[in-house]
Amino acid sequence: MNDLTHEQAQELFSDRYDGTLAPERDAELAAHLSSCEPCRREQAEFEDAMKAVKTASVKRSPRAPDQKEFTARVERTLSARSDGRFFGPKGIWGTMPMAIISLLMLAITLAIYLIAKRSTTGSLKEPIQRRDHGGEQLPRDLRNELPRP
Amino acid sequence: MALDEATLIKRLRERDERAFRQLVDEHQNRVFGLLVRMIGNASEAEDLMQEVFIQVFKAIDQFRGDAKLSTWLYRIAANTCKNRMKYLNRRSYSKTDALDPTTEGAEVEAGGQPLAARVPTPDRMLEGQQLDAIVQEAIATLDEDHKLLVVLRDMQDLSYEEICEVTGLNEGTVKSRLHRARMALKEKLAKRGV
Ligand SMILES: [Zn+2]
Repeated sequence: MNDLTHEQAQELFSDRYDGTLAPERDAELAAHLSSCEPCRREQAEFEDAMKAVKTASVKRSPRAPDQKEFTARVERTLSARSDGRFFGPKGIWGTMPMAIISLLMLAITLAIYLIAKRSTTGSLKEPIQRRDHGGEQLPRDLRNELPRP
Repeated sequence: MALDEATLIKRLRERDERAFRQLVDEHQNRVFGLLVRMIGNASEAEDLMQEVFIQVFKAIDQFRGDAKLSTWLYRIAANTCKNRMKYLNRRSYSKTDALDPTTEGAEVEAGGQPLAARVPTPDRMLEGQQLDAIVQEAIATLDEDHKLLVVLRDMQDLSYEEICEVTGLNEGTVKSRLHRARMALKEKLAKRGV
């Protein structure tokens, strides 16, 4: 096993901390540290520093903005910068999903058809004869059965 | 219902507003974590975060899909941050109001413990707050490239692969630079008694 220099030993601190140091290199580092007080101190300081950073990153919760408020703020800015093309104010059609709009249109079409079919004046039913002044109006089929003069 | 990533990207390309809302909702905490740690100021970080998401909305067509969407977002955030810091440095900006520990604690970081489990007891609070402030101060004085690597790896828990995608550096460079960054941070913390 080659003896590591102080620099070589200290170069391995990060890999050891990340758990990516090969076992034989780890053994070399351990051997160096066991016989080198300055590197042992450096190693201890390194571990303490990383522990402090880790603690700060977990415990510290940067003062994040309220999630919904922030999302709304971005949308308002996008709306303003796109002249309302995105995230602009929408009418009822803009806020309704396409599937619901389609169903609604289908229902309206069907309703119009049914109303027209039941209607006494609609074009889907035979037209009613007009009443003549003073005269009794006969139904068309009956009139056809009358004998001709 | 939340969309899966492929559908989310497809909808984002169609400039679907609900997809964009989902993106902002899902990623804002982590993007904010990166920005506030890089810039050291909460309101500045919030303004920057807005610019990041607006840029994402505009530039989603440029996302090639060979990385995760979150990594691409981080990349945009890191670049936006760099540009902002250049600008602020020119104006000798040095405020760090955001990281006053007494005003924090409202959010739970992704992967962190629930808030209740993390609330320190009163006698330990001062010690913890002081340590946090010292760490943040030390990180703030790192070189920008070093700071980004420490924040991405040691505070935001990104993998080396993700860091390579965010920074555009190869893994060897990331590892050696991060090691130098950590050693520099160690020196700064040791001087501050950590
Ligand atoms: Zn040594």
